[in-house]
Amino acid sequence: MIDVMTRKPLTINSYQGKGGILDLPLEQLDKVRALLDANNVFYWVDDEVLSIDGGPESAWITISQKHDAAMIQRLLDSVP
Amino acid sequence: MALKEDIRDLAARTLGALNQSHDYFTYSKRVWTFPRKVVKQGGNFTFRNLATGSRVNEQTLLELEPLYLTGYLLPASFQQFVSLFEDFFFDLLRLWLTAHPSSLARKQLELGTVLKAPDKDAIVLTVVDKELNELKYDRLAEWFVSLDKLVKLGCPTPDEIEQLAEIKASRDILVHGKGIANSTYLAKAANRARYNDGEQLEIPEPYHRETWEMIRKVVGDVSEAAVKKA
Repeated sequence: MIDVMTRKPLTINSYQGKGGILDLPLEQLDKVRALLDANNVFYWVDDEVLSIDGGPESAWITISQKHDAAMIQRLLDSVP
Repeated sequence: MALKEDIRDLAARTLGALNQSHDYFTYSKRVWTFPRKVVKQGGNFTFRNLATGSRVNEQTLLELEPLYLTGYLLPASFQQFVSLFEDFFFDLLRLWLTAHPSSLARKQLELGTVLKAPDKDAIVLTVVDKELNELKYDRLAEWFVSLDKLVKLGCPTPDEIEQLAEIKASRDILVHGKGIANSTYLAKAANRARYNDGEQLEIPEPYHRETWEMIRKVVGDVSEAAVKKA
């Protein structure tokens, strides 16, 4: 999946390959949540969103450590 | 009257500390937006820890974010909530028992301890502290059984006690069990167990929030009921 703001692939930030944090444009949050829900991924979404200098808002999804980060990345890469 | 005021003060301090603790968690989480902002704007920085010799730049620091938030900040903050609850509970018991020491009338003390005590209040406090120290090693459900024997508050509900028992069990595993669920966790958590034997415990943020809300509710309910009975 391509980040609509950066035009780069959405990439999970993981420590040692378990779980991780996904920083994504707020407008793509619902689509990513649907993808994760469809694949029984346990995650949670931050209560806050970030806008820098009045720009588009970013959200954060934290993926549970019980999921392999590479698997999550493959899921993200599997959709446009 | 003094007991009522003491309980009210205890509740106010505890609820204030719970709020401060949640603020610490929330704002600590938020400061991660600053290195993120630097990266988005194409800036760079390095930090060096003089104690360990490690060095990070804006990229490597962000790579640590998942570990620091989920591996350290969430569990540590969660443990702090549980500590505040334990302090509240045992401070409440101490207040009640020192105001109503007759329930401990059958407890025995060594003569030496009595002779060393400056006054009767000190003797009572010695017995109270001994009783509380023993109770601390019991399961959480037993804490409330003991409280109920002293004063029937009508709260928390059995459901809430079960939730608190799982919360305490999770905390105990994080502190004493390297975060790996085991038979002790399963026994303490019972029907509320979130993990199976051998699984790594996590503190997801929704659960962290639910814990904070549950503890705040129980502190409020118990202290209000205790004030009415005092």
